[in-house]
Amino acid sequence: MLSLLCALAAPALASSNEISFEVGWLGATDPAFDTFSNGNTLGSLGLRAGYAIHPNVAIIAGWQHATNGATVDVPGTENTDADYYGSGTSFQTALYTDQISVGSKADVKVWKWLHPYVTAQVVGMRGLARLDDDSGDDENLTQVQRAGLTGGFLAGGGLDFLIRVRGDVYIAPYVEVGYGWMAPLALKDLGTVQFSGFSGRSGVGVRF
Amino acid sequence: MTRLSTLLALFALGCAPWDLPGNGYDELDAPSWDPAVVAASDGVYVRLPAAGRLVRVKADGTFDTVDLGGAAPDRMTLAPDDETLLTFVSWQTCRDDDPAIVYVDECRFEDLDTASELVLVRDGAVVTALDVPSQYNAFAFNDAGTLAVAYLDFAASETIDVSGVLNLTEAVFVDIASGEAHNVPVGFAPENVLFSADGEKALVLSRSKVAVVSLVGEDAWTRTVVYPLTLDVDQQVDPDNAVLISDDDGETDYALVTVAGQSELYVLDLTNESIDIVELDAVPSDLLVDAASNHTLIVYGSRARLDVLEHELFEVETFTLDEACTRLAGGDGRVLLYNDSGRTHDVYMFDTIAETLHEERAENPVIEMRLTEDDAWGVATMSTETSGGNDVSGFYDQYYGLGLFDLASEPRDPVALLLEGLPVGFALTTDDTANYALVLMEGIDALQKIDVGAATASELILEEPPVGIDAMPGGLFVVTHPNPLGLVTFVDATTESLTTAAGFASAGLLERPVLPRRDVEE
Amino acid sequence: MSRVPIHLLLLIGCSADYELGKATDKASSDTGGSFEADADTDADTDADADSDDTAPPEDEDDFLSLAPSATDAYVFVANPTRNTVTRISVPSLAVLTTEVGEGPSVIATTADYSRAVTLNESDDSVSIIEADTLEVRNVDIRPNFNRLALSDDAGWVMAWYDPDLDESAGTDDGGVQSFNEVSFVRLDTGAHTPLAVGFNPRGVRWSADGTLALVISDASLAIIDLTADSLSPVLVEIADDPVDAPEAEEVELSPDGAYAYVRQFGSSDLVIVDITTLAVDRLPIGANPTDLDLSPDGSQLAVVARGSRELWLLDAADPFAAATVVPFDSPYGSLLYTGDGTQAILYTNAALLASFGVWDTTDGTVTERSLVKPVQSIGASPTGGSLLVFHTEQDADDADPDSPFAGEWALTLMDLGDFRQNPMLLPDEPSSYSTSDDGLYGYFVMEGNKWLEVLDFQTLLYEEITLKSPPVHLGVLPGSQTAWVSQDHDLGRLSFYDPDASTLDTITGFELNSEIDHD
Repeated sequence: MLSLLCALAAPALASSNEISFEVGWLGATDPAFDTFSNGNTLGSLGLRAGYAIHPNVAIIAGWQHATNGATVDVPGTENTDADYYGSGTSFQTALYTDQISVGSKADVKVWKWLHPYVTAQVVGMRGLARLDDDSGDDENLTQVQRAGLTGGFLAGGGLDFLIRVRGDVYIAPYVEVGYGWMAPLALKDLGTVQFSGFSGRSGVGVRF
Repeated sequence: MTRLSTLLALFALGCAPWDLPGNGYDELDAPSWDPAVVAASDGVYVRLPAAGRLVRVKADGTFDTVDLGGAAPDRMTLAPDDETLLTFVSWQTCRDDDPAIVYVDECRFEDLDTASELVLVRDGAVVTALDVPSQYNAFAFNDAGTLAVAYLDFAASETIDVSGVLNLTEAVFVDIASGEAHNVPVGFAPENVLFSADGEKALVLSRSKVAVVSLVGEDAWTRTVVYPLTLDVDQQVDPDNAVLISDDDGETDYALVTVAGQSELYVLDLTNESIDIVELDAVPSDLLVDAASNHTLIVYGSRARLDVLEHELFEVETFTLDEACTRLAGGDGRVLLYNDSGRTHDVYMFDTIAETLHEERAENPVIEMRLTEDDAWGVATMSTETSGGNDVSGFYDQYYGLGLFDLASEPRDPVALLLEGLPVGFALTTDDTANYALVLMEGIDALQKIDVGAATASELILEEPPVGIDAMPGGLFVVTHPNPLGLVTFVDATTESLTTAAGFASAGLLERPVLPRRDVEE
Repeated sequence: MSRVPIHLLLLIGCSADYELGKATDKASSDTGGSFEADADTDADTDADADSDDTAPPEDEDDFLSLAPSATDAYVFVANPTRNTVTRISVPSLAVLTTEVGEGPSVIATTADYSRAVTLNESDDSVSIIEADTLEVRNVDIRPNFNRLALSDDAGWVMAWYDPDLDESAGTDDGGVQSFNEVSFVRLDTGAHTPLAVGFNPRGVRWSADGTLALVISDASLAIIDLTADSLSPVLVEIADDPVDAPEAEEVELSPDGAYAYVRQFGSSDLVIVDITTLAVDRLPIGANPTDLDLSPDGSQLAVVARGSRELWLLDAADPFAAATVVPFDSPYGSLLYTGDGTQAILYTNAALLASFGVWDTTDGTVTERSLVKPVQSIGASPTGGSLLVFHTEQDADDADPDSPFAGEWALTLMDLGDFRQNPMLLPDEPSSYSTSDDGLYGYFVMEGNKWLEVLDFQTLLYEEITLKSPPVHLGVLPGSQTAWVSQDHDLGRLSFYDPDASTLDTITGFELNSEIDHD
């Protein structure tokens, strides 16, 4: 809503359609994410498309995919039944997330080549977690897979850099920062993992 | 930043979905599951220490989580009814009552406490919660399975958690049906509990004394008689083993109590409330009550003899052995004597009615001996031993073995089977036609099903090498495998069918520990 | 581990009485008392006997004379440190313990086996215990007593102070102490009657009909009518010189209760007291009389005059009738009747004399026979068929130094019918001895040796039974052949041996029973 108001209030603004390839970041400070990654950020790759509905406002939609994985060491177990002391073992983890975002983007033309903008999006996320003690064996029974859906929002601001190619076609790298929040992703009996915090996008696209 | 390889993996996903990326590293602070499972009639209960959960794995391969109200299971014991699981559970509490503190890691370490209770679980759900301290690490049950006694087993002292003040002079009697708990002072360091056949009293053996606790009537849950085991307060007499017997008329009940490191056998007359001491020849290593003859058999690790104690005047009749035996197995007319110290080979079969002793020889030292359900066979796992011989004995010495001992009235020569590896699990089963031994070996992903009478074996292939086998009520067996994500196999020995349950150790792995029951905490 | 040697504390009360020379007159629990043999200090002017008898007194305080403390069904054990008495049933070996007064130091059982009685020195009381029910009645008595004696009819107990047992208390607790007092307690009612009798009471004799008790002191004899509503002593002076009265060594009572006979230390006269008239007479009975005995049928009183080497025989019912004097050659000083009274053994343990005399009571002859070694003590089977001679370690002067018995302990088992002997070499000094009532078996133990020695009086052979720990006390159950042996064990150990079945049943730890706590 804010982006829409700003866009409507700004004089001499310009908006356009776009298709962009982008990378994204989303905060992942939930300790549960440590099972899949050592970092505190969900990094992703994706695409974004926009459709101008107003000289300053475009409807945008995007898709981000992330893949994370880790090796988890498990301390040795003591089988008191068989008087057996097992050495430590490990298993592999992987978390695949797909984010679909839909929202709006409102920009202003500061210079011909610099268009700051604000954006707000609703995000839907699907997560798929996999655990496997022997990832080299596709047939082993101890392959655990759990999926879940969640949703949230993104809000932020960015800078579009327009480089005219020809006519109204521009190459437009951009960078965007903001805040994202997702409800906890429930992976059934595995538990939940939540993403929230700093969000960012950066990419390059085509404006037309 | 996601690597380019990950991008490629996106496209490769559809071809090899289980080629998982392994860029990160993490470790659990506890084992993902405890292979010391408890096999109940409704399934196998498994503790997940890392996740702090209790799961029930059913014989059809499915599993579910038992809701413990946010608490984590610490120790489990199955009641004799094969249905009730007594579980000590614990949970974290925070002395800072700020409502903003929800997770354990949000509470300062110095403000953290641990609360515990005993819960009774049936059919995958908690039926009763009892305020019994979790320091108790052992249970004893009466024959009917209606009463449990929690006490401290100092043989497993590493499992005793001393938090605050611990009273070492009490035992807790738990009525399983009603869920009522009764604390009874029984003496310092109670270490063993026996129940009388009529269920009216319990004997609690503690340091230098034996206490009788009444279980019925007006005196219920009170200590009625205390038998001293010494008159010198400076002398420490620790009961080691105990059995309950009756005289031949069944009118007088006795408790026979051995003492650690001493050759005295205390005979406590529970009917007339008196004490006698039978001087044995040495410190006994095992004793067993034979129901058929109503005698008690005693063996010694340091003496090659079998003593048979009658229950009227407690006179001892001695049978000389060639080699000392440390263990007794059986108890209804036929008893096997063997030595599990790894030093000797003799196995003796003693007919308690005819009082005849028959000597056999195991090819290798016995590790463990069990009798089949019909007492017709003794089956023993045997260890390797060093040998310089080049003959068949020398060959056999290099391998673990399974000894089959016929206990029929005309004993035949024992059969010695070679095993490929170290036996890690061993169970006996029977059907209408034969007795079978189920043997698991270390590193070998197969279950050997051996027909004891025919000395033939068939192999049931397992998913992975096992670590143990337990019998389940109802005839099934459960084999555990050391897989970090949890893997057990249910074995129907009769039909030789296998059902595998896998992945149950993953439950709750991602859960961030919360402070449960915070609303009810002060 | 610290352990209190139980044998220092354990005392067994006994019921039956077994002849063993004069040594049976000793013991802590029998009907008599302590009568010490005297030393001969007077030259005998009598012409017919040795007037220079300088031998020491006959030793009548024989260690072998501990009377059993068993009834026919139970053995009673007192524990002074726990103030308890434990009853072991035979043959079931069932154990029950009851509390008594403080510091029970003596225990005895009545002749009818119905009760056991303890003397509790720490609280100056006696405890009367019903044998079957273990009900206890505690009765306070006069302070500082250390001995007791039970009447033959199981009706009374008398307690008194014996200075010879001053090691076992009864001594000065800092307050007033009397040496003239005794306490009589009626066993059925617990009624206590303290009495002052003569100085230094030595013991008591009970009349056969149970109506009289005679308390002997050095200078006097106190006669108590037990049928009176209120007991009171009638004191009869028996010493010529009450200021310097000679020690009364022995007293006997005629079966009809008419006369009491007292032998005094250093006196050649027999003091005769007429119980009815209280008249006191003196009768010369040879030089240096050292032993006084009543025949088994009670008809005859025998006095051994060692100084004159004579045996003086008096009619117990009419002591003033002419005495029969039987001479003998050797300086014997003690007499032991066989159980049937047809023979009596003359011997001495005051000198190293390797011989004994057999007095045939029917024809009056004395036949001397040799032994392998001198005599320390003698015991006879109750039926009179056998004799058991315990020898001294020292040898007689004329002993053969090459004898296998030279310088060793020994005993001789002898048939009194044909005087067959079986002398046996012993590894140690015997410490306790007892025989079965039927005269078929005898038993003895040696201190520090874990054996029970079983003597077959018919075959004169022995058998050795190994015990689990060193024996302390020994006895035989009345009316049976079963011997009981208490042994050194800090928790109490008692064994029972049946010679017919050759079985040894042992109960250990019965002291624990006193600590069984009934909440």
